Amino acid sequence: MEVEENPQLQMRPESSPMEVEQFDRRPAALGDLRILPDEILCSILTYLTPRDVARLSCVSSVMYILCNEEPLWMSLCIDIADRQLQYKGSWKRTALDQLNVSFENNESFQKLLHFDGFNSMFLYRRLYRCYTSLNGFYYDTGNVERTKNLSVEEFRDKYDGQKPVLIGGLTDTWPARTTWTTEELLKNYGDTAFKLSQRSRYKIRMKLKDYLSYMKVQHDEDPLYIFDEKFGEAAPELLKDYIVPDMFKEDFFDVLDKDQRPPFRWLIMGPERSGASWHVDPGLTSAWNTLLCGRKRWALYPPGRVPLGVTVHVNEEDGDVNIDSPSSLQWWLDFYPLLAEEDKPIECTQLPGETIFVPSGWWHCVLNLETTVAVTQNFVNAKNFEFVCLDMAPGYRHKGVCRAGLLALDDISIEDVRKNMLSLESGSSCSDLSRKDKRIRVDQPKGSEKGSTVDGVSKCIYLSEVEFSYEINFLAMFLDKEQDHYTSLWSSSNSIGQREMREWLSKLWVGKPEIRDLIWKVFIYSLLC
Amino acid sequence: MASTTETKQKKMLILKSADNDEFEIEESVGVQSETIKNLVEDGFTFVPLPNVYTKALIKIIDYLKKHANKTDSNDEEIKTFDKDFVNTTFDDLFELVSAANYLHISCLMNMLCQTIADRIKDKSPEAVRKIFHINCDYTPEEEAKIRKANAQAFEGQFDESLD
Repeated sequence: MEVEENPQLQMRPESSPMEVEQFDRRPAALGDLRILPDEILCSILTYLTPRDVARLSCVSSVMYILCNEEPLWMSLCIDIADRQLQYKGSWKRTALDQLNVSFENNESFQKLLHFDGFNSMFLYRRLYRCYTSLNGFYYDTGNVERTKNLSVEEFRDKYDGQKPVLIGGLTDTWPARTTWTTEELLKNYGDTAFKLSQRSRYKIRMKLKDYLSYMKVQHDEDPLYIFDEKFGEAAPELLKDYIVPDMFKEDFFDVLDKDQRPPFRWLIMGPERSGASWHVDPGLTSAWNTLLCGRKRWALYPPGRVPLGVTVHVNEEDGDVNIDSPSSLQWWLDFYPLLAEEDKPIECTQLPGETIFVPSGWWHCVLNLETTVAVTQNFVNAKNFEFVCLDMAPGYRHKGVCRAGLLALDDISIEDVRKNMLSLESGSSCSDLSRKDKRIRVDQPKGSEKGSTVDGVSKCIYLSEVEFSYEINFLAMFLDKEQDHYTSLWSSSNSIGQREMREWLSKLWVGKPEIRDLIWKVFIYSLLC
Repeated sequence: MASTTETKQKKMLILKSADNDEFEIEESVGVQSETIKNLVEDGFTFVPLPNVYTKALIKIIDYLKKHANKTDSNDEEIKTFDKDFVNTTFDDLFELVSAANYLHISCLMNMLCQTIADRIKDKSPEAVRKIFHINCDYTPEEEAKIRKANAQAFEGQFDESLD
């Protein structure tokens, strides 16, 4: 077969000349499967059941090795976990425990067999990611502005809706500053179950004491972390340990009843290597995130600028956006070093007691450098209200454009927009656009003033003479005129339902007469488009 | 990420296989592959694919064309196409899955991995060895040990068929 002649497809680990003579058990132990790289073999195994994987491990030595990989069992376990999870020291044991398979008395289970003569670059790199030190990111070489004693006005004028900022000093009066350490929390909430981060069929929970013991022993590449929007219900006292900072107090969703309001606050706790992979916050809300202990590395890109290694899929049925992204750790270790200076994200290392502000629509990715405890809230205020409402409007294109910029469009749509813009040329929105565009450039990392860098940046923003701009009039051009709010498919990812959306706007109309202009504007965008 | 493409309707791309055959396809069809998309965004219209052979490339282009024309009404048609697409030998599936992996076409990757897994599941180790011509390289002691450790997975009936 042709493929066999192609050494590239086999992707066998490179061996130095010294090792050429070494015995390689891979070909015989994999038979016809040997033409598949380890990476693909490992991913095929994740589509099987634990029972199938256990049986496959009896086929041959290399199958045994691949079928006993901890990341495989982590994935199998998360697929089947439908109740509170208790980590049993390894993911394989945890999975079997979930399936009520006893292994305690099974001696042969205790120790894995070792086979030499199998070297896998793929498995090695994965293991490397699980054990490597993240010290290189520990000290801040970043370029997010740091402020202290930031006033509400200053925040509104300089940062809100414009760029990320690190704010110090907000936690000085919070009880959480001293009580949100793993030791203290364990004392008071050990038996409280919190929700975990994994995207699985069932939301997995773990008791805090079980989670903390998992956190200590695991060496996972993408460790589970606590990410619980219901922590206020599970442990109401925790809500008294922090105070929403003044500059973030305004939240238009607070007019909704508790059960109608979309999730807006999360307790986050996770070990080194864990963290959220690249994403844009739900519904284009803005967020603040305050770190109580540990350090977090942040990377951010302005709206519309898709990070390297990330793919944005736009659903053709309802315009919903799905994101494919490597784990945060993998991105930092494998993608970040490949970036040219001008393509690097805006980044920083957040320290305990610091709060970071993430504006609406901004891409971000977080890596915990050590065990961290944080609280985060998302909000809708006067600055991002229109974006949040626009995002809920039905249609095929605007959600993609808000996140991926003009890359989300095909040629014909771009042509439409170009015509649209030419006809608007004398209008005010164009000067608006160029002003915003400059803003995006200003936000680029330092040292980007030079000619070549500006090219790099503008390449991402200009596409066929149309400039992307995260500006409401620009984005509104991508709404589908023929879609209407009452009969169109309501996108499943919208944070509130169709009826709640109408109720929300009418409650705001009554409760916040000072923003009626805005409400009327979004009413036109999102309900009557 | 960057793009300097022009707005002409139906821009075309040329894909060149590992055995030097060239195929012209619409750009909108090709960019379903992340690998091709990245090259297109860097301004390439000629895309050499040194890891994909003609035989697999023809099938994959078929797949991409079909999936580029997805609408509300041809859902059933695409399902039938997909079913047909994966109804082939293991050798073909392996070649396709390697190509899909290289080209970064995630929906195709998922479908092929799922298909291969479905054809392996429920088989006994002996059947798996026969199907893939795998040498059992265990010593009898090792094999007994591993069988014992996984005894629970051997309860019930297996599929001993060799397809």
